[in-house]
Amino acid sequence: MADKAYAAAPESELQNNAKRFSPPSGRHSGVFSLLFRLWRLSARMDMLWLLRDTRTCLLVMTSDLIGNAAGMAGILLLSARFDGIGGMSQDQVLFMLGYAACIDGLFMLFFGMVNTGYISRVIGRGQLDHMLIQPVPLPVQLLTAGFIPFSGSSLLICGLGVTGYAAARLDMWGNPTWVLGMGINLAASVAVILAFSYIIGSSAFYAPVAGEEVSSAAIAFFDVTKRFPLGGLPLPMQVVFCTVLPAGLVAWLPTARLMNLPAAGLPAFFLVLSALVLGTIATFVFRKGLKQYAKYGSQRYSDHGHRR
Amino acid sequence: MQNTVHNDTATMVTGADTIHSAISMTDVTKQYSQWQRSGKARDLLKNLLHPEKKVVTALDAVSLEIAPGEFVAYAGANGAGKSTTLKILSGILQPSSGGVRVLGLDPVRDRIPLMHRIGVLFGQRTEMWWDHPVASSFDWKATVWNIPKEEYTRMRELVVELLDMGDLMHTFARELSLGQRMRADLGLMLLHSPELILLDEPTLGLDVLAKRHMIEFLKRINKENGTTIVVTSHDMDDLEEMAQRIILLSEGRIAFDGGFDALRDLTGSLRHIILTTESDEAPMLRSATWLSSGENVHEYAFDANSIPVPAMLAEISTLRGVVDMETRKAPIERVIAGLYRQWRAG
Repeated sequence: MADKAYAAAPESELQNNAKRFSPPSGRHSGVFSLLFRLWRLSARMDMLWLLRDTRTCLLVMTSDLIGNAAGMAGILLLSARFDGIGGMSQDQVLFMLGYAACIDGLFMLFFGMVNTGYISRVIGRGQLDHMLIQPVPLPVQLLTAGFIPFSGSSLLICGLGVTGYAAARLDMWGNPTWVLGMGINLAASVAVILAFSYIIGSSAFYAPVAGEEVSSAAIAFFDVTKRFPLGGLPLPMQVVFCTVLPAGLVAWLPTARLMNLPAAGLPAFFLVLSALVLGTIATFVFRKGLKQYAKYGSQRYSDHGHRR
Repeated sequence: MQNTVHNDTATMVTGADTIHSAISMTDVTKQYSQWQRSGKARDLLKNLLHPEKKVVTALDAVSLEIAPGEFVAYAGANGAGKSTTLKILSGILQPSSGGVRVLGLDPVRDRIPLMHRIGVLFGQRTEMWWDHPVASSFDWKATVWNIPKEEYTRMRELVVELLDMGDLMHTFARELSLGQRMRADLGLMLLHSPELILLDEPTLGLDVLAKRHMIEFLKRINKENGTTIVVTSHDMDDLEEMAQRIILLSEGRIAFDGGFDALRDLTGSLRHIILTTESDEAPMLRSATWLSSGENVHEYAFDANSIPVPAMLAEISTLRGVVDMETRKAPIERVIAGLYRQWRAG
């Protein structure tokens, strides 16, 4: 598009300003190279934080681990007390809890920084302005800016350890197709949480002050419910938790299917399909909200910088 | 009322009649709607189902051209539409109607190529990474903007030297004072050598020294690099010192567009006289209006168009006890405050 300005300018001016008005060299050769460049950049910034502010960083990682372990403990103790709950044995429950910790870990790893996972905060606080003045497509920024592979890795490592231990006890290792299926399910479960956060969080476009924390509430809903094995619930409730309130999609359905257990009578591909549908809805709702933002902007800052 | 004054750099006609503008706004209108809800019980249902909407016009058919290399002050009272304009120019907001071109590009549709060529700085916010030293934010920018390594090194050295940032580069952004942070933000903004800079209240909250530093630097890059600069501020004296042209907004419309001297002429040729006397009693000047007194120093205002300066000097020479005198143009603040009052009065 820079060439258009070229065409509109008079000849001599073009010559005078040739350097200044020429498009800078070496610009993005493709979305993927841009994605990897920015992921690498985010990783570097995270590593620098870890190196420079090691104590704070370790404190954050430890508190994440403690919080997650506390969340797992309740279900695990119930399962131990009753020798399995919700149609799952103790080891199966442990596998599900490990999977849930992996989901939390992946979410933290990819969307843990600058609120890219908690999108209503970005919208409500007027932080989209900062993103819009960067020469990078907004989806690429949202996918890359939150990447913290060092400070955000503790939960994932813990989750993988628990999942691996439970899988070994259940004798589920050794099949590459199963491992691939596990990987696809993990990605789809993270996509469900992210899409849900964006669908609910987009309401902040219309009510920035009231809606600033709705993404946190949406994600907290998953935190509270995703660790419960839903096999003991009546079938209609299981369906509700796998569709309208998709907490069951985040851990219970995928782990049940990976362990060949019945899950609300839904097929194995239901999770991936749901992730695609929710992702499409989230894209539509967010884009619609962006149009609203372009119309009204964010009124959170007064002329003198105070946030309303 | 409009008094469009273009200085030498503004008109760039080269044989043909084409004029290339850094910024072109044509009949740009921006309207917001605000919900109006009463606090009365009888309006409960109405507030819930059909709240009243009030349309606020932030910009009303604004048209302007800014040529490459101009340094333009964009001023107005609170709510006049200054920040809205800068957000429209930087593609954050879309106008309700009208056309906007920045460096020949549509700010919303061509946001990404445009952001490679312009720099935006909102004075009350920072683009720095809070938990990192300034140098890390600079490196971050080089990657996001994909600035070639040699160009980045050259610009980094330049801004560090010009903005005297050597000591700041390894300080965490969270530990910078406001003045230091503004310098760092300005340096960060300049790393990709923007052709156009949009600054929203860059001197807000800065102390005298930091303000001086910033003004000198902006004047320098405008003069030496030919960078087009549009700056908003509430501090009119700062604006007068920086810019060659001032666009004054009033209730979303351009109320004045021209030079600062032309702006002064709108309210007459207002001048101030400062008299130092032997006593603390202010002498009576028939042709001037007394403004203030303190510690034997007395300030008056007069219109040099109706009372020529020699006549005023003659009157002062008849006064007793005057030990010193000084005459100067009225501060632009006072001129503009007068204009705001006139415009509000209708």
